[in-house]
Amino acid sequence: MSRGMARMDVGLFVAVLMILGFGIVLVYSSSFALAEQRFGGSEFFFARQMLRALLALAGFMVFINVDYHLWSRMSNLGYAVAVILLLIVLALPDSAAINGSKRWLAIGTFKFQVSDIARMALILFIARHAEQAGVDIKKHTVYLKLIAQIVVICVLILAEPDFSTSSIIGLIGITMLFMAGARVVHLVGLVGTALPAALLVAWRMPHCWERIEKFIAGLGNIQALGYQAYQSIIGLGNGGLFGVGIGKGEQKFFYLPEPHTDFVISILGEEIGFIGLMVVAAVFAFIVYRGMHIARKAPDKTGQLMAFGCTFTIAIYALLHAAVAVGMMPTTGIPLPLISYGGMGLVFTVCSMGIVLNISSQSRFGMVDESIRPAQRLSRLGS
Amino acid sequence: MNQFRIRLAFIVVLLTAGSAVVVGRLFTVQVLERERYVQRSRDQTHQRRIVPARRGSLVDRFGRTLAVSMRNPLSVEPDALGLRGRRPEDNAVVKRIYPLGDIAGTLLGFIGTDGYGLGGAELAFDPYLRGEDGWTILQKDGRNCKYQKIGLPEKAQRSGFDVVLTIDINVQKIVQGILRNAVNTLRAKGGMCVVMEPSTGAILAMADEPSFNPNLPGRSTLSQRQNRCISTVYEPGSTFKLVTASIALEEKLKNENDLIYGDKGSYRIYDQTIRDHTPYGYLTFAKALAYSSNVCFAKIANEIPNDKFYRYVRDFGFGTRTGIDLPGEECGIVHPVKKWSGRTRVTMAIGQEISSTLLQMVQPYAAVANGGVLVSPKIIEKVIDPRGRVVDSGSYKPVRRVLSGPVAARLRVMLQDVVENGTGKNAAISQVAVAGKTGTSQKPDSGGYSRTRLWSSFIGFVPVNSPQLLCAVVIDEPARGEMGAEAAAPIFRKIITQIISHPELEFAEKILKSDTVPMPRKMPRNVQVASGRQPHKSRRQSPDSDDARSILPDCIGKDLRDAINLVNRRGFRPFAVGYGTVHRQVPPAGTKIAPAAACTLFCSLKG
Repeated sequence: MSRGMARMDVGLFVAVLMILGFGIVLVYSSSFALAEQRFGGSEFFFARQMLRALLALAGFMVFINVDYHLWSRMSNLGYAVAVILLLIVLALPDSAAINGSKRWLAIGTFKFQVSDIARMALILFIARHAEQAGVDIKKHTVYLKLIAQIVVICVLILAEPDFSTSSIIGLIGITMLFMAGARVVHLVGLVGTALPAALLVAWRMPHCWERIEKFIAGLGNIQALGYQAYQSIIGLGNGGLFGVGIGKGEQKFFYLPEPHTDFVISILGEEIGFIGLMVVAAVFAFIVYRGMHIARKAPDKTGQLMAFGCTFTIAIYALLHAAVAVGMMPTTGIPLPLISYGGMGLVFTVCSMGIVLNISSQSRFGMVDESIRPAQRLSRLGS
Repeated sequence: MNQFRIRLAFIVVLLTAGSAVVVGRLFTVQVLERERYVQRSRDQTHQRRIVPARRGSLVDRFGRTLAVSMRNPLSVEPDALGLRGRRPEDNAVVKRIYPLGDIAGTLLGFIGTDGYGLGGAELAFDPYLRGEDGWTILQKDGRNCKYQKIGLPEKAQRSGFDVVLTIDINVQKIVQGILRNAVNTLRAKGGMCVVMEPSTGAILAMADEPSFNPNLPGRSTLSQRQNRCISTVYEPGSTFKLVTASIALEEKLKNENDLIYGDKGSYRIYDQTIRDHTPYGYLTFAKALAYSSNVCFAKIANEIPNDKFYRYVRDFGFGTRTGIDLPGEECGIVHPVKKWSGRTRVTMAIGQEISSTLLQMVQPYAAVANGGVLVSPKIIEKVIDPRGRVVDSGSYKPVRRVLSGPVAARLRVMLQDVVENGTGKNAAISQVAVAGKTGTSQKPDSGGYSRTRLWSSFIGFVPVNSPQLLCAVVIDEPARGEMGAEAAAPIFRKIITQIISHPELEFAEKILKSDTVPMPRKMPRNVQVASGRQPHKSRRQSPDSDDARSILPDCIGKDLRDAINLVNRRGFRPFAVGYGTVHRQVPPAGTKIAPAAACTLFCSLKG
């Protein structure tokens, strides 16, 4: 066993694999009807998800075993590539647009969202530059330079247009700056300007504003939430405490659009119920908890920020995904990490977990701390 | 590092708080408010759907299909989403199929798009055929595609009963074919025909033209869909003379050989002139029927009291529906006695001033055929449930005895004479003795009767002595062959001939066998003497024939009427020249001559 694998956080590793395996089952259950209708074969999405899961596992192994500092050193290149890819996607002809926006690039049969790459690149980039800046991050020049670099990515994504991803990436960036030690005053000032700006942008994007209006209307009456959110809530409610059973849900039969991506939690809630959902949530919480723990114990600031960024991404995506599904957020396409079907997003997320695990294997205390189990300690002694 | 931990804790707290809010909301939706959403889910995914009952079939007496409901499945995607206990919605459309097409169309009727019978037998037996609808709950997906999902509550449909009609498909086909052909050849407006088993009243065929195809009810007009045999009311004309004749016999007012004076074809009574087609002098009662003399029948009717006449007419079923289990039956018009004018009885005697349906008109003939009992016509043989058990059965329904057996027998012989020697010659069939009566009636026109628009009819039965088949034919406004004998009688002959010779029908055996029994032997003596080929033929074959019968009696000095009766009784055919007392006869008395030979009586008034 490699050094990375031997010292990594096994609990997190297992949790990721569990969610991954469970996600494949769920993608099949939630997508077969749609696949049958669209592609004439119920396994269409499932087969692709399997392939991506295998690819993700391969990437997982690679990232677990490659020193994260390599990614740190390559982060400038990564940032540049991300910007170029974002420009390429914007330069695509309008005919390449899906639902009016250009977000996807394809390499062979594999399609990926450029914003996924940009997000990863940005996390690595901020981690490196925040470390380099050290306490200088409190200087507004350094701080503003980082902000500018974040804004470039966000604006490019916003131009796709993809308001929600842009907002989330912006949020991740700001949170990372916060974790890197930026001054609270600076951050408050940033949020103070970014929020009205975001609202203004949202208002200028009619499609987006419409959803926000519906969301506000839906606070009193869930039927006014709009079709998707309404159906999502019906599905969740129909599941009840124990669910109707895996595969037996009704909502995926064309009541809920995109059941395998943006509303996968609703299918999950319908089929395995509140209790099942809580179990899945617990696994996610565990992943986030371990990720944050790893961030805390990371050997250097880069590791800390990388682990935090990757973990926070999963946490914020999962939270917002659930919030949309229960109608607490305007309807927008936020996938559930590690589970939702959707291009190469799964591969990127698993790879980011690989980075976190690599960091865990290099942590100052290793896993030999108060939480480690005797069996693990024994195996570690043997290696 | 301390700062990182604090800030991390802050972020974790925020995430936890956010998660708690979302989980709380999930708990509300999934647990606290669950019922509401379960109900909404059910509302949008479940659809209660009626499972229509399988409608029972209409079949003929031997179980051959007249109308059947067939499932006609539309294209169903093979196993699209047929996963996990879902099978695509049963889109099968049930279609009512009438394999005979427009044969028996008006009899069978048709069903509407809602599956209810809208005419004919389909309407009459709808309660039997209908069954009981069930229901099922369909699962509906977001595209509004419906599925049948296993395990949801449902109520099975109960199939309707099959109704066995008394119709025989083969007879019906023969009748409809011949009738159609005849209507076309005669360029008639229409036609109708009933074939009945006179002993039970069972209708073997009931056809009218133009018919309609119940497979395509929308392509027909309302009048085409009517069953004319029971809904068209017409003046029966001469066929009604059977009723008058039976009253005269039953009330012993006349014997077959009683002479009635034909008044040379014109008889004035109650300000009305009754005319005959051909002028007759003296006719026996039997001959009056055979030649269908209006004058003679007017005179006969004149001897019957009004109320008695009315009672008989009603007893024969006129003025009331026959009670056949078919919709749209008319009852015809028989005015009550108090509304009668002086001439009513007289005109009614010859089939005017009374109207009836063809089926009503069949009844007196059936009564005569079966020995004097009025039997209500029967169209339903039995009703059987889907498991084959008999639920109901149409029974032989004698209504009342209207004639005594011997009188009915005598009438049968008289009707046989009509076919053999009288107006019904066109209905004669070589292998079998036919009894029947022609009829021609003018349609009422503005202010009188039309000369050109006629009903031409023939009603008869075979064989004479034990009738198995009764057939009534009416042609509506034949363009050629104005007299009934010319239009309807040959149709009758064709129908009966084809029925007898049809290989699948057993009538040939029944009818031809029963005909070999010499029929006059059972008859009363005075009937036996009545003129007609059949009795004589059989007598010739018998070895103990009475020689005295072939010797001409002496008629000189006798009153013409007595003389004719005398000559008739001996089996000769009298011809009268002049009236009064016979003063000369050719050949002379005591001459032995062949039976049925003519004897001319010369008469002059006394003094």
